[in-house]
Amino acid sequence: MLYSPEANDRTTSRNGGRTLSRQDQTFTIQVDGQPIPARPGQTIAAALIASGRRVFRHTPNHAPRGIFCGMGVCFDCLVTVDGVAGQRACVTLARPGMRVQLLADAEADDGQD
Amino acid sequence: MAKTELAVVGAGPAGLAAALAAARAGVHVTLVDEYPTPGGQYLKGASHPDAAPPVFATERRGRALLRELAAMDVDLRSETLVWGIEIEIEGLRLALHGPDGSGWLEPQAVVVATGARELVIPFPGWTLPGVMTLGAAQILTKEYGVLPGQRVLLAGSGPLLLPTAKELARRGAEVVAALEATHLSQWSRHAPAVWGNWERLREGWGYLRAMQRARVPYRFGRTVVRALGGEQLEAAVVARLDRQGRPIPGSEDTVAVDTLCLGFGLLPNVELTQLAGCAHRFDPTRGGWVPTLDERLETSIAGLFVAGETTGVDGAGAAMLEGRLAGLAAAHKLGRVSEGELTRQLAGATNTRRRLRRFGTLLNCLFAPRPGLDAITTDDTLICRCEEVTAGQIRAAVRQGARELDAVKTWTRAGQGPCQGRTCSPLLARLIARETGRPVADAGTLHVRPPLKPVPLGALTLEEQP
Amino acid sequence: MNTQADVVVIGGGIVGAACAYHLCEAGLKVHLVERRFPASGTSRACDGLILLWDKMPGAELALGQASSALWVELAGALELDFEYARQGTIFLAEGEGGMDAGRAKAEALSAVGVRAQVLDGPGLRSLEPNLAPDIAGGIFFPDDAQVDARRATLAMLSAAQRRGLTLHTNAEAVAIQRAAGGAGRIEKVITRDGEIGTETVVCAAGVWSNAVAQLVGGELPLRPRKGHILVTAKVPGMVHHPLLEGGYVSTVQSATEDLQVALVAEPTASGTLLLGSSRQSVGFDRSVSMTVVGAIAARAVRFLPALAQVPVIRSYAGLRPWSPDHLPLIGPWAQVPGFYVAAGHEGAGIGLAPVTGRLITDWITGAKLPPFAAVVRPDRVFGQD
Repeated sequence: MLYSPEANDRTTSRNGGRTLSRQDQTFTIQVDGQPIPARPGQTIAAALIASGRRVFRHTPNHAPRGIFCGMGVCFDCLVTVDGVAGQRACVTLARPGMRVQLLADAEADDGQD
Repeated sequence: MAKTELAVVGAGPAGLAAALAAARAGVHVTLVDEYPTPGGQYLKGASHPDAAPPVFATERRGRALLRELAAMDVDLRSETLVWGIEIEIEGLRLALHGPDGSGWLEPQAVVVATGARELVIPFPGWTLPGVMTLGAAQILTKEYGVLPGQRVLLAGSGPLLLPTAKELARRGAEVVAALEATHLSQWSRHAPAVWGNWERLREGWGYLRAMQRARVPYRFGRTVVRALGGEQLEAAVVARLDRQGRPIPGSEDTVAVDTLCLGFGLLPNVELTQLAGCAHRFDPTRGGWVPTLDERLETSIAGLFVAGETTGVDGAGAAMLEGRLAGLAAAHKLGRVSEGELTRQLAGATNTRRRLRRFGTLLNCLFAPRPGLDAITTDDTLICRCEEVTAGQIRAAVRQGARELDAVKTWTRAGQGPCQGRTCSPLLARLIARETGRPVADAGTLHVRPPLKPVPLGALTLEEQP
Repeated sequence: MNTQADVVVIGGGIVGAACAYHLCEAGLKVHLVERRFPASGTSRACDGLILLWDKMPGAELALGQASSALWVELAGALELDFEYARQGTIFLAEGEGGMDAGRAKAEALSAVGVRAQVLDGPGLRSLEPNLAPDIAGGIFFPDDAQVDARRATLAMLSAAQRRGLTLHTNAEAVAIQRAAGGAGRIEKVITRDGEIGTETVVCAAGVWSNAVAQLVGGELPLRPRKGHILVTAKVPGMVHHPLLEGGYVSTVQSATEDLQVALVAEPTASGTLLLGSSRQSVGFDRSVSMTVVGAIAARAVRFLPALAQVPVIRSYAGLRPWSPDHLPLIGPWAQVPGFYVAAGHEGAGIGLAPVTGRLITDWITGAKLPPFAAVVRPDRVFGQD
């Protein structure tokens, strides 16, 4: 696991003028069918990396890609979220019950269902 | 169409300062931010209890802004992207897309505080998972408490290497080294600019001490020239550099690492001001293309102000100061601040702005990647990560007559992917300059068009969704 | 750069490239001067469709059919790939009125050898499952094709270079020097990057051709008709054929412009979708209008609801060179011996580029001209303003 020790007892998180309704329990998201833990306020990328997954996709030339800029600029960290492709994992918050697919873009599914 | 008095785009230090200064003057402010939480890159994780306590005044001021935001009546729209802007006779309007759908926002004035992004000089293997920017490492650790990897090497140039190394070490990563491309002997030339900027000096010294305590070597005149691995990074090849930044043959050394954090300075995010049609100029002491501003931080478009790293890279202290002034200037435009008061505030800030600008210029000039570094970008190195276009393909296009960014984009597809050329355009400009022997500015900029970042097709109809 | 050429082509878009290619194939010594870079004008801002069904039976259709056949040859002959594909296109009929118009078109075209297949609703959706269920039907035209216009331009130029073309980029033509006297023959083309001696000039400067005509004291009645295109993220399998809405929908009437929007959805080889189309007369402005973008998006979502969530990664606008009778101007201009026009293709520039290049070559080499050459002579509209 790639959590740093200090993060384990985080209990508050503010969002500017709005207070997040607090559930500091870890929840799970599905990644290629496997459950992985995530926390409120965490992005999909952070949850993936914390669970040891750093390869998010493969390009049309089969090159592996993961997180690069971490701030939503480079569009390398694209994953499919709840059936919608091309989402940036580094700026998309993980939410309970989310289904994430890391399959190669343009190869796996055949459009939307 | 929603209306507001002042729209501030970007909730980093400059945007926060602008929003709060205007709000204090009684202006109704809508603060639009792309990220889940405000604070920009500088204040990542600032609100978390496990955040390192602020050591420097700048950081304390930044955190105070976040606390003040919570108390003020500013309409904060997080996870919301400004993807278009139109200037009409009647005024400005912004196209927004966020969790509540898509729609127009009609402000009477705008402060653009979209910050800056990192420049990375590419080399073979730089696209491997495990290779990331310094900023990415900072975000993962400070905001999310996640280590990007176990055995980390940092490389690049400039002040961001130090706080990133410190944070990684603090959180338990094995930080093998931080590699600074310049030689220490090249620093003394810029010493006069340090005068008055004692806080920045103390900051730097503090980070050096922290690295010493954590036993993280800080090495000069070195950089990574190749990243090795199959599915992920496994090792990095380090070379020593001469004073022009050229790798010295025979000096290569391979070190096993699973994470590489890179950064060669920052580039202002000027896409919104470019789309708006503001005048820009190329200034390498400011980090590249920047909007042309008057002393009130107003662009060539009336009612459109800019603050922070978008005006030119000068650091968080300058960003907060500019933000406050831009907020006041916008408030003055809206009749809430008198001409006398604005003039007083601007005059009072002049010396500080000059001092901070001098230091910012020092950093931008000292740490700008030297031409010799281009040698690490071999022909098989990818330049456009989105469309997988190599440096060799780009050099060939330039040799066949592509002398501007739009030409290279048409010729090779570089810049046609979802990042819209943000990562590759500075690299394309460097390659063009190298091949043509002309200044980087002659390569121009990519033509910016909406959406400023990809948005769902349905959102483009700009109908409010329930 | 001081040199001599048999022909100087002004303009490095697809039409200029086609002229250069065919002229070089015919053994002539050709120089092409482009003011910026190849395809920098409309050729990189268009959809790349090669259509037959939008041509009037008669000379226009004959022009189109000849060009389509040439495209098939070029797909085999050019060394660089340009994603030529012949899936056919589908004309969409939103309602029964559209179906009637479509059937009439299918009949008229079938009669002159253009294959057409009428599709009812279920038939349409068997070919394109992602279309909205209430679309009445369509017409499938299997002979239509598409290319990547940008690549096609570069491929033709590259092939022409292999056959002897000298390409000058960043070389805007600023003057055409003629011998003294009333009917002075052309002597040289002067560009920002040097001079080329020649007696024959082909003006293939697209929507900017009037500026080139003025260099020889003439006027071309070409006007810009702006179009917008959106590019989606990769969605392979969403759409199998280029889809085109029959007829225009006048959506927005603003004070300054009238906007016509009609859906065009074109899948590309890389899996992205190009979405258009729009038509406006707003001068030479190429900035992207969010109003137009929104109107195209609305049309696209109406026909393909599944697209609503698909990211649009970029947009662009291009200027179609409109001519008063919607036909291109191809051939010599009598008042200036040696000056040829190859421009005014409006929305059909890609499709008609090869036949344009062939016609220009036939004119210049004195070869026998096909019958449809007469209907596109530049002299038919010259002089009137």
